[in-house]
Amino acid sequence: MKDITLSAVISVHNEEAQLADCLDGLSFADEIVVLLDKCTDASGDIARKFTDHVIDGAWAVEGDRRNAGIEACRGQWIFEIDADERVAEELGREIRTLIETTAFDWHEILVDNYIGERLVRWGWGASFGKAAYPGLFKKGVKTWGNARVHPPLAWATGAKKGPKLEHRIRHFVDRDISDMIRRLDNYSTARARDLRESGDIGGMTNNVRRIFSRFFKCYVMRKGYREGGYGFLIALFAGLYPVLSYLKAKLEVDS
Amino acid sequence: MTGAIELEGGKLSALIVVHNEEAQLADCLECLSFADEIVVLLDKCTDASKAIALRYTERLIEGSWDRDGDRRNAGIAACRGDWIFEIDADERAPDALADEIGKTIETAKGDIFNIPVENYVGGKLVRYGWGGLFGKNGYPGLFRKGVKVWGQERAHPDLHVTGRQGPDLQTPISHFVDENISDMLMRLDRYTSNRARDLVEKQEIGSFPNMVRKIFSRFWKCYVGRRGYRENGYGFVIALCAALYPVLSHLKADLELRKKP
Repeated sequence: MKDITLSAVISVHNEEAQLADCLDGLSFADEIVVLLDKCTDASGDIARKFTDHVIDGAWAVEGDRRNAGIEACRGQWIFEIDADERVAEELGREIRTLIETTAFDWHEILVDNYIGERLVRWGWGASFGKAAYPGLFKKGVKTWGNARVHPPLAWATGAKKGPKLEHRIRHFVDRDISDMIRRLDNYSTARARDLRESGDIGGMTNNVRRIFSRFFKCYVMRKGYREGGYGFLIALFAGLYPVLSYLKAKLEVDS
Repeated sequence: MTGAIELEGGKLSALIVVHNEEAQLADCLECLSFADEIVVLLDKCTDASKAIALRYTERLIEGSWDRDGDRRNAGIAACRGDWIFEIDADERAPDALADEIGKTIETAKGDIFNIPVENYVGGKLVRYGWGGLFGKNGYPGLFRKGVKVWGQERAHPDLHVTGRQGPDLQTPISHFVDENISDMLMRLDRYTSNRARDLVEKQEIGSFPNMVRKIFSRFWKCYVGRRGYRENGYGFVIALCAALYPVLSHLKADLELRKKP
């Protein structure tokens, strides 16, 4: 059996449409670990075409399932990816070269976010799309927190952050505006659950204020206006996310 | 009963147009026994709607319609009564409304009558702030055959009405608009997709700055003008959906439909 230096890990929940294309780009890793969370579609069959290392289960909290995926990796280095992301060959080569030479414990990877076919560079933020993420790290240095939406990360003490990689990962965020609305709905529902659990759901006035401050941050400061209509929508939905989460937490009981 | 019902002058048809409404349909049809016939138009139904409808009536029309106006006109054409009561699957007619409809037809002080609506979100009655196509305060739901024709728009077709407008009915119909905020957002998504197709067809998608201005004017109209603020949070979400409807329709038309050949 060959030495495992680099593991690629992916957590999926019913991703049959995306999974094959994503796994296809991961052959640069020494092993691929696929964690299947409550999958009821063909994700499992697709995953087994690419790897023997498949974990089946049910996790209520995203942080927990990501930690379980990391735990299952045997490599000294771990590369974390989502089903809606794609790795080009150059990025794969860069990762291999970097882990041979780096003196650091983790590195961020820059992200190109797409809506449909359109590359949208500006205006991302506030949970919708991301500019970069700490996707390459040594085993043991990165732990996910236990929030449902966008769990915080904890780093091992003394873990050293290195420079960003040069090549970018492609992230297919949404197919169209309907998908963006659905994502806003899903995120705010999950966030409402987190708020109710925390016991402090906040107040209306503050969350209304955040519509404007978050819109301004994405559309102006992060230059979403450069992207035309899509930049407007990203900023709008980022703005509405807190108030919708709050209202769902306040008006609706969990089903 | 077998064969066609012979309806005489003054008889009432209740009409309902449905697309996969198995969850709602039985409860709605249950309260329509006051009509002389029930007509159910089934548009592309793939669920149990037909089986449910057959428990209440033999008058079914099945087919596939692209536009809401066309299918509603087809339903109206199939009604054999002199009077038609139009209802949706998410609405319920209380007994008091049935009585009032009977009396209204007897006295016939007009050809078309407005029926007031009480809108519910989840189990909660939401009185204030409706508008901008989300929820309605009343609708011309009782009319003599031939006086009401639906227009061609995909989203909320216009009405073409001839004949005398009678006094509004007093008893409201109950309209269960949405279960929760997620349903409201999904409705916003559907309506704006339909509206975008209408805009592209008419080749009038409007200007982006104008649609942005409408966010504020429509929000103000629902939340302040129509006093949505009284409804606590739901009034805010209703006003928000009404406010975003033009700009989302415009952007779907501009970014997603126009580019395609």
